[in-house]
Amino acid sequence: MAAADSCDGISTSGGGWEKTVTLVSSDDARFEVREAAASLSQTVRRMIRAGGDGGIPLPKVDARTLSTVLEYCNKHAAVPAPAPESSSAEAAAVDLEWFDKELMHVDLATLCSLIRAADYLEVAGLLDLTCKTVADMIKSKTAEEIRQMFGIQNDFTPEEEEQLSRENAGVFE
Amino acid sequence: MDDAGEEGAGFTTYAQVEEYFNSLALDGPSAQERIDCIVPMLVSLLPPPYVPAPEVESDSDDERFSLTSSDSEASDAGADHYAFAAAPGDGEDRISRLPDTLLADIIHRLPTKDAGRTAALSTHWRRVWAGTPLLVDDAHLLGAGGTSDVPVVRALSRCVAAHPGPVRGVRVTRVSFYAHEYALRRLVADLAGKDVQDLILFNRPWPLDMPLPDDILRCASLDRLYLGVWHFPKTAAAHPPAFPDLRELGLFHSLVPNQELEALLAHCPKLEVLSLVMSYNDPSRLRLASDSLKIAVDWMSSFNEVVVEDAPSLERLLFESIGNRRPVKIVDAPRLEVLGALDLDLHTLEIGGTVIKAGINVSASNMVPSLKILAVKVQFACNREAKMLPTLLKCFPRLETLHIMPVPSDSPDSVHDLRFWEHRGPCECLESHLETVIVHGVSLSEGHGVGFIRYIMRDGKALKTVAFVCSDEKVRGFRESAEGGSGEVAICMVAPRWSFRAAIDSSLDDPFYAVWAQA
Repeated sequence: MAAADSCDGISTSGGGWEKTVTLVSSDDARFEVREAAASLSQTVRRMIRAGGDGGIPLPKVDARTLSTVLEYCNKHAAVPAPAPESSSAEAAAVDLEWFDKELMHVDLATLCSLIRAADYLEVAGLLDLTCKTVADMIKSKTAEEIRQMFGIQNDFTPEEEEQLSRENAGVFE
Repeated sequence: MDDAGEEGAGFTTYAQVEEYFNSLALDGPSAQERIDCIVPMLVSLLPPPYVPAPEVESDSDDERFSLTSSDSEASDAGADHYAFAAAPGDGEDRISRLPDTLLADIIHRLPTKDAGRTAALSTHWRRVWAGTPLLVDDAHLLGAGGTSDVPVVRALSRCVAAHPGPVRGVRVTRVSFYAHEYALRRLVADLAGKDVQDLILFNRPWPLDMPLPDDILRCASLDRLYLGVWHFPKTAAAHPPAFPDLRELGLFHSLVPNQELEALLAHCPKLEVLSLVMSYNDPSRLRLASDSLKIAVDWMSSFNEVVVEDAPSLERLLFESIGNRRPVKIVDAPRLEVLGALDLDLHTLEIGGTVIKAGINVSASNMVPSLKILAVKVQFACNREAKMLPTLLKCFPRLETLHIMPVPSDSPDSVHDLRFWEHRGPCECLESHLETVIVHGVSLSEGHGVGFIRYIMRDGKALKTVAFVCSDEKVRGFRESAEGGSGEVAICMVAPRWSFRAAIDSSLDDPFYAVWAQA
C-alpha cells in the first residue's frame, strides 16, 4: 500500500488512472510499473501486500534484466481493449506469441539472467518461456553440439565416457 | 455387438473377442483390421503427453502444437541463430551454473531422447539428470532408424533401467510387446522398483491377450494408471492395498475378470476416477463398490449390466454406450450429482430395486434427490422413449440442468399423440429446481420433440434458460427470450464439450456443455 502511495499512478490510454508501484533493481534503478503488471510476479505481489516505503527492492535483479522482465509483464498484463467482433481472443494469443518469440532473441548470458530473475520473481509465464527456449536449443543436437553451444566442459574420464556410450547405445544415441 | 449381448455371458478370453470380430467379417473388415482402427482411437482418448512428440506425426494434435506454439521452421533456425550468433566465443558456461531445480525444469521439457542425452554432457549434468525424476514417452524413442518395434521396446526398458529413479511418468502407446516378454517384465519390475507415479501402458496388438506382468501390482506409488489391451493379472496375489495412492485408473480394451475388477477396486482406497473404455468383463457386469470413487465412466464398453452398489462418494456416473440393451441399477449413491448420457434405447434405469418405466408411480425410494445434472439420449419419434421423460424427471426432484440429446430414429412410430404433453401431473424438479435445459443438436422437430419443449416451457416454474448446443461460432452471440411458465426464459447458444476427457475431468462443472468463451 505504502509503496503504491509513493507515486500517484499513471494515466492510461483510456484516460483513467491506474495504480502503480515502484520497483528498485540491484543497481538502484527505479521502475514505475502498473500494479497489475508487477503483480504477475508473485514475489512482488507478496511485497506489495506486506507494504513498505520508497519502492520495492529487488536485490537479485539488475536494471537491464528487470527492464526485460517488465516488458514481458506489461505486455502480458495488458488489458485487452474492447475488441471488434473480428479480432477475438485468438488474435490476441497470436500477438502474444510473436511478442514472446521476439523477446527470446537474446544472447545466452541474458537468457540465463532472465531465467534466474523469472525464478526469483516467480513470474510463471516467463519462467516457462525461458526454460522452453533453452529446451528448444538443446533438442535434436548431439552432446558435442550442445557442449559447444553452451561452453560446457566435458569432464568425463575416458573410462566414464566409454561406459556412457555403452549404456546409451541405441537409447539416447 | 448385439450378437455378443444375446449370448449374455460376455467374453472370457480375447480369443472369443477375436472370434467374434472375425464372425462379423462377412460384411466388413477382419478382427485385425477392426482392432487396428480401434487402437489409435483409444490412444487419442488418453491424457495428453508431457512433452509433445518431436517427430513428424500424422496425429493432428501434434501438428496443431507446432503451428500454435511456434512456427517450427522459425524456431529451429532461430535456436541456432541466437545461440551461436549472439554469444560468440564467450565460452563461459552459464547454463550449467543455473540452480539444479531450474536445470531439472529444462530437462522435463525435453523429449525422452534429448533429456537422456543431457546425462552425457558433463559430470555435473549427469548428476542433475540422475536427480531429476524421469519422464519417458515411447513416441520420442521412435524416429530415425527406430521404425521397427524391436529397438524401441528395448530402448524403453533400458531408459528406465539407466535412471536411478524416481520415475515421474511413463507413457507407452506406440509399441507391441509381442515377443518382448522379457523386456516387458523387466520394464514393469523397474517401474515398480523406481516408484513410478504416472503410468500409461498400452500394448499394440496382436495378439490381444498379452498378459500384463504381476509386478504392476507392486507399483505402490502410482497416482494415475491407464492400461490398454492387456490381460489383467490376478490381483489375489497382491497385498492389499496394492495401490494406496492411486487416484485415477483407466482400463482400455482390457479383459478383466469381474471378481478381479472388484478386488482391484478394493486395492485402491483413494481411487476417485475410474474409466472403462471398450472393456470386457466376465461375467459382463460392472459392479461399483468403492468408498472413495467420485467419477465412474463407461465409454463404449460392452457390459450387460452396470450396478452402482455401494458408492458413498460417487458424484458422476457417465456413459457413452453402444451395443446391447442393459440395465443401469442405482442401489446406493447418496452423492450422485451428474448422470448421463442415459440412453433410453440402451439403458433400463433401475433405482432402489424398481425399474423406472413410463407412467409408474415414483416413490421416495425410487428417487435420487442428490442429482443435479442429467443427460438423456432420446428418440422423440419413438413413443415409448419420449413418454419416459416425465417419469424420469420425477426420479430427480432436485434436478437443475437437463441435457436432451435427440437421436434420429431408425424405426419411428407413425403416430405421435401430442396431447400426451398437455396434462402431466406435478413434478417436483419442474416446480422448483430445473433452471436450465440444454438441447444437443438443433432438431426437435421429430415426433414428440415439440410437445416436450412446450411441456418444459409451460410446467418449468423455475426455468431460466433454454440453450442449444452448437459448434458453429458464428451463432454464439445469438440471444432471444421467450415467455414461459416461470416468466421470461432466455434462449441462447452454448458450445459442445461432451467427450471422454470431459467425462474424467472433475474440474468441469458440467461435462456436457461449455459456455462460449468471451470474445
